[in-house]
Amino acid sequence: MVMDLYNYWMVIVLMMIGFYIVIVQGNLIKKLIGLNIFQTSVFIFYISVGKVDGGTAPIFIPEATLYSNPLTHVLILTAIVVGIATMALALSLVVRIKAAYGTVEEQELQERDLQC
Amino acid sequence: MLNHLAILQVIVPLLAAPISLLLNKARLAWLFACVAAVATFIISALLLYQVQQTGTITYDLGGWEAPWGIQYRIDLLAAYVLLVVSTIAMLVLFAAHTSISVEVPGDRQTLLYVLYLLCLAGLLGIVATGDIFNVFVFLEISSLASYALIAYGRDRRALWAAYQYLVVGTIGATFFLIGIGFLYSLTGTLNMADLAVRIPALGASKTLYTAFAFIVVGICLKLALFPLHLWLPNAYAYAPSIVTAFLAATATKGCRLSVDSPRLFGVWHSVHYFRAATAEHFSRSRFGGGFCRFPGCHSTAQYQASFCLFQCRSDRLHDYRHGYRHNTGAAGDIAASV
Amino acid sequence: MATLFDITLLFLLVAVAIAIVRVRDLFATVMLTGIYGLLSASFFVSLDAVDVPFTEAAVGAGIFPLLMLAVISVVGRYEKTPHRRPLISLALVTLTGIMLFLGTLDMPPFGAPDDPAQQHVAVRYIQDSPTEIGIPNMVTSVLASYRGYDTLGEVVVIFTAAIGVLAMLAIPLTRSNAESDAPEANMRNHEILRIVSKMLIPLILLFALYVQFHGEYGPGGGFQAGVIFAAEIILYTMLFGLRTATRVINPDVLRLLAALGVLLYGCVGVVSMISGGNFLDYNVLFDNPITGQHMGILFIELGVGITVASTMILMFFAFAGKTENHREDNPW
Repeated sequence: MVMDLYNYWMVIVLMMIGFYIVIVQGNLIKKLIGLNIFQTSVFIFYISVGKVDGGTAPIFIPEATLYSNPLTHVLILTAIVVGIATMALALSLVVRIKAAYGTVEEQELQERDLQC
Repeated sequence: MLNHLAILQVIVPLLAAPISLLLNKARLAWLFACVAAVATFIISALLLYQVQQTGTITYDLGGWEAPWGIQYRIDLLAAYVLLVVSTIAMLVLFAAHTSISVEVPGDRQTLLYVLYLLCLAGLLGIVATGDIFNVFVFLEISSLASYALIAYGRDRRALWAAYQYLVVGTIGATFFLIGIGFLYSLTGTLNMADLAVRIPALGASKTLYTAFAFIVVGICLKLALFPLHLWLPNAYAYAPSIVTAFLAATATKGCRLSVDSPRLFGVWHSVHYFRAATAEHFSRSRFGGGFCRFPGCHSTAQYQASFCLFQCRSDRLHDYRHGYRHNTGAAGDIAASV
Repeated sequence: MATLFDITLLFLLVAVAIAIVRVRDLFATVMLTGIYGLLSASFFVSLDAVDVPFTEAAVGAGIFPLLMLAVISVVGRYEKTPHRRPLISLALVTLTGIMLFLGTLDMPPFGAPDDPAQQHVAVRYIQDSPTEIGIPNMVTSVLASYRGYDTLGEVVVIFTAAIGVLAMLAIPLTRSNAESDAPEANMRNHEILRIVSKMLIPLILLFALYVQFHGEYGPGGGFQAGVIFAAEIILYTMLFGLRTATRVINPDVLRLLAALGVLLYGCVGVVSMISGGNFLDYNVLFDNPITGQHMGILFIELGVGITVASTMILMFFAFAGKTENHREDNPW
């Protein structure tokens, strides 16, 4: 049972570390890094679903009989692009927040906001 | 032409966006965006007429039949939602030029109209599609455009609100992706109609329940269903007025449809029973009259009402009330149509 | 043996992730993120994916740390808040982790060839795509043909992000005079870097074109080629300065190209609608369906490559513009 599913369990550990960084740590940049870890571990999860023991990369060669699943690879290619797009947008927001507030720490931002 | 209406509904705003980028002057971009919005509205009206005449429309993209290719599937409910979204988008855009000229400096106005069209295309794409990963992609298109639109607000709090929305929204999208991954590992397909056929055959499976749970939580984060709604009031308070008008009326409706449509999954049994039980409990609330199948929105309304008392700015009060109105209004019209 | 390699990589990933949690220096954290991306890419290779680690290495170990470094130079290098330990968040994370763990218990075993995931839709992609589409790379045939509409969505996503970044950080339009054309003072001394990079840039360009057009026969494709091309221009910008780079490649031209890439993709679909098929049906583009598939894939990959390259360069220019302004005010 462990040998069947160890891959998924390690991926869950990675996801939770990423999730933890996003919700606990205060620096806006650190949150984005946590988000990146979270997303990348989901990609590892998908590719693990598509892996076939004894298979080879999904590029047709005459000698091979068993291939890994190409659909999961396609989904992850799209998801990687979506991830970097979100990150780029988030980083530009952080730069503007720094210019407007003078800080990128969550606690300080909330304090400066409360001075309505 | 008439048999391509399903895809034209999404392609017209989607391709109009880069064309608007090429027209540099803000007024020209606005006029072109209005033309595109009117065209989208006409297409959605024609589409509704077609669905009423001939029943559910399916459209195989790329010529590949489902489930190997992506399929658009437009039933009556979807056609109504498409009409509502495109009407609102068109009307808000007509009012936009005067409002935006006041609120936004000149050189960024063109980009706002480009983002507006992209958001519209994303929302229409979510409603029209029959493939669950396609929902994810268009959800991200509309979300990214929304984050950028909200950041156009004049107040610096718009930026912080947009950032919070971005983080919460991306977590929601990633949960949604995890749910899709679980479903794919169990069934081997991504087409929603195909999933509806294959899921009952799986029986009770922890993986299946987890998949549902993550998909529902992911979408609820995006549409700000209580108690995951904390990003919403700030985002709507500080965004420019037409952005708030557009997003409040459309974005959460689109997401709600993708969760709730009966065509999404054939088996909702356990989820339905849970909802019916909690709906009875909440129907005694003094805010709602009759039967509401969304216990979430009643509690959102109560929570927001109590929150109103602790805000120091009157326009946030307005937005809480607006949010409450939009939640119960949404509940009303979706409950009526399902 | 392969399992041992897998397990080692997974433990290394967990170790790097934990290090990222604990380190307070954001510069070190960004470097660790790059390492994380590279380790993930290696893990993908060991799981028989080939296109995916190409993209993940370019993005996760290339573009992403680069943009982060540009932002850190503006925002500040050290994380200030001491780590607090809120129990609610920890409980939430544990709860989610337990739910996911329970969810995996009923999953089909990892790697089994008769998993439901490998049975239904994937069978046709593997068995029929070399004959239906005529290209050996099954990932490209799924990406560009069977699920080509998702790829259009993906291109629009990156386009949207670039428009959003431009809306928030305008690129400084420099109608500058001669004095400000001098390259950055702190890069002028790196003679070796400048000379070697000038020799390497044409080679990188060639490689980018190779990856673009060879994506049907091996790993590669529009997105990877676009990122490699962007990386080459970014290298040039880092060594020779933003003003010189914006004279080499005008940001207005880049905006035009970004829009044109998306429109090229859309036009292939519109042409196929006009020719009698559905949107993005390449079989009707030419008399021979296989030729139609080839040409359709070629054009859309070109559209993807053009948009991705121009949007990545635009985004970098936007961030670099902010970095320069900041450095003039307060050197780091």
